[in-house]
Amino acid sequence: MKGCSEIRERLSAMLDGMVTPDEARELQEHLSACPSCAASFEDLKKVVVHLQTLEQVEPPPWMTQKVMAGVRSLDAESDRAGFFRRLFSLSHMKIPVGAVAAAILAVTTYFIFEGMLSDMPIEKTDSAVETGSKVPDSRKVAAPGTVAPDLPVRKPAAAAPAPAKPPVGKAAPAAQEPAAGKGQKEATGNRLWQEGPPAAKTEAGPLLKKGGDYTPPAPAPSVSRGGGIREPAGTAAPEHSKAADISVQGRQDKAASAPGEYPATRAKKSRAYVPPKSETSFHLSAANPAASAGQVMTFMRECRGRNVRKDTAGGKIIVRGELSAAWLGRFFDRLKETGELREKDPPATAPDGYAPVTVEITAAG
Amino acid sequence: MSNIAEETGGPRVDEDRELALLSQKGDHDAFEQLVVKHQKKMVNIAFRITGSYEDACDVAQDAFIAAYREIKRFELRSRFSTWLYTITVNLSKNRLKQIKTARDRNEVPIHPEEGCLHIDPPSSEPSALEALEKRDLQKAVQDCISKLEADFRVVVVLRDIQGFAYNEIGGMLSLADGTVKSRLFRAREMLKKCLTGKLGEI
Repeated sequence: MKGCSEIRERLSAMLDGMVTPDEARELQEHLSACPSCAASFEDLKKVVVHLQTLEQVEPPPWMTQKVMAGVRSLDAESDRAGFFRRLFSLSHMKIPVGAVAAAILAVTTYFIFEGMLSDMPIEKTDSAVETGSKVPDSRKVAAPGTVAPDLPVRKPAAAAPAPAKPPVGKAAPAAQEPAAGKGQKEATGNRLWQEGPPAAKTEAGPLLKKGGDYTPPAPAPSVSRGGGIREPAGTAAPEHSKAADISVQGRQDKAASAPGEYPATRAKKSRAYVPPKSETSFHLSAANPAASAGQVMTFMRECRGRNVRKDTAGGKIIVRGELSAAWLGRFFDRLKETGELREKDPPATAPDGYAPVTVEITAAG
Repeated sequence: MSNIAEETGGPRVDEDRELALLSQKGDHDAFEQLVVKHQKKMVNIAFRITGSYEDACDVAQDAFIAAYREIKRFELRSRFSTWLYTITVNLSKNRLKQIKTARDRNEVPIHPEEGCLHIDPPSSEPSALEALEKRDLQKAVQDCISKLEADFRVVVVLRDIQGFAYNEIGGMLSLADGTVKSRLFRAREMLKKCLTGKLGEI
């Protein structure tokens, strides 16, 4: 019958109460006149009943825990991200005034000394204290006194004869003359700041005062190179100012981690020691490791694992494979049933896609 | 997502509002209560759309995590549950695409239910035969649902199995009520045909 298709769509809507009373009356009249539509409507009602009576499944009991674990790790991630964001925004919003001034000061000071060093005879080192205290404001005279203890440090940068030995060279005279070292340092600190570049002077006003107390960030490298290395930790404490102590500590840390090396080299080295964390590993203690290994392999395969294999090394059985992140949790649950399980790396951080999984199995006890 | 959800639910009081507000402030206990409350419905929506219990559990977990990640942007102008179910539906559809792609590459077994964990719902039928018949019928219905294209499948699941109103479904799927009505009709007709083929008569 023509129009039946349109009628049937409206009949379907009528089942959901989505027609007006007038439409419903009209549709009922059609049904009583059209056996084909009436039969179709009966079947439609049965289909809907079948759908409505489908049994519901229960969520697994571990779901809430899993979700909340995910939520917590999400918060931890965003905390870390937030920290870096704050750091980033700080560097844009608040740091510039102080930091830029300090940086300009540090850089210009460095270059001024570099320039003076190239003109300066090394023999003038001896007269450091006297010269410095007598004529503190004179750049020409103050410079030798200030720079004298630092000469070995500056030299490597300005084509020094023995670039590999600056720390040793600095430390030796310092250790011999701790008291003189302090005197030099104070004089040095004052003069250093007075010699700051004209451009930086207006902004660095407060810092100039600090310069005398050895607390400013900018001159720290030049001051600490003279004063910092001078003292071993034990003798430095009573006589040195706060900044000097910090610089001593800093240098000692560096020296302890890799004596005779430059910081850049050490940074690269330590970075190379960090192993890439790309796999999830578990440790399993079981009464019968061989049997457990078989079970673990079976679990891994059941959880759609691929490249599942077993190795034996030093009394341990190691089962390896690759699991998708989606199956990792379930695999972990199954593992727990097998023996005493210890997570070496948390599975929650596994990346998407397949991740390598390692299970070490040792005999219990 | 929230824009879609804003169209749904109308001015009705949202009983999850307080918990959602607390969750926005990072209150884990509040969010856990929402998880406990909605997880069953979410798993069932995802189960009927994907046809796999395992995938449904994954989808529900992912949906909760996604909801928590985005909850600060949720403006509470729609009901929280509608918003949550919208995420579930979208992730279920994504999972369907993934399954299809994986099957095309023969990476996924044909019956994913045979995986690590499978829960059979307890049967309260007195007769084993009746139980078997009922189970067969349920399986036939699910098989027919799984044969529908995703757009039709989602509509029939949300309306006939989960009982959402047309406007709620329209809001979740960004569809006009008229489109919901016609898709639902066509989905029901296809199911009728499929079930008749499987069972002889409905």
